[in-house]
Amino acid sequence: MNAREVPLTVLLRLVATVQGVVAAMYLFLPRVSDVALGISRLPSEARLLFGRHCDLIALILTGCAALTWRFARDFARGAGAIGRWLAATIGVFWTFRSLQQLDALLDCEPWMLSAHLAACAFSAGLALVYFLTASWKTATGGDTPCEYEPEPDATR
Amino acid sequence: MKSCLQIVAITQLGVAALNLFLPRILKWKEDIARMPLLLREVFHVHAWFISITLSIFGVMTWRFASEMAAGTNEALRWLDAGISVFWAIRAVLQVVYYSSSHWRGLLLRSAIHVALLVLYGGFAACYLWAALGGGN
Repeated sequence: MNAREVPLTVLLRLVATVQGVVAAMYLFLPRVSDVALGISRLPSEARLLFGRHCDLIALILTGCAALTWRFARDFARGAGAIGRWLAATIGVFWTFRSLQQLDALLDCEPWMLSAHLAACAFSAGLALVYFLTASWKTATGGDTPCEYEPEPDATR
Repeated sequence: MKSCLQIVAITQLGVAALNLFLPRILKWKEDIARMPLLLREVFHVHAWFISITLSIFGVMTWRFASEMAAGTNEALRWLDAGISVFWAIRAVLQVVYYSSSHWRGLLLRSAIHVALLVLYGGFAACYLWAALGGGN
């Protein structure tokens, strides 16, 4: 592995691990947040919606984490159009998430301020890592498993 | 296979856009306004979340339809498999999660229920096909 690839590979593996942990946390969020937010006091439809919302986020984050972990080295090599688009779209996802957290931050009650602030910074940080990955250029260049190679022209 | 993926991409972008107008289309605005603040926020975040996720699926599929159809790129096959799992879970939820009281005995709602089940199942099958090698 090229020495320039190592820091980004490690960073991406770290980001993948963190996303995996957050995904696992989301599965327990309805139960944990009940203490702070009184979810069990809400109508049953509301509890179900909150539960499905958490399940969906857990599913998406697991997907992002798996892709990032599996292809971290390829991303770090400057992985061609497919790798760059993948990283950029995950970056867009986290940008929206941080904007939502920012919106919640402006309306939240004082005791929730630090939690929203931390969540906003976390989301923005992840967005930054993915955008950095999407724009990553390395000296190695060349083909990687993420680089799409068109099939050779059979007529030649 | 490429055309199939392009149709799926456009449909997902359409669903992503439609999802943002769902409260207006289904006349839920007053019901949503009566919800507790936390629930209202979760509802809006959830709607945006789904739309952004589907937009990403749609954009990636449209941009790399040829490569997905060729089935030669490992990263895309992983992505196909992930999206397939997403839609398979959504199709299962359509059957086991939503109460049949929403549609039983109502022709139009029954038709919509079946159409959505076919649509979600079709998405899952199309991406699974691509993940397993597609046209190769």
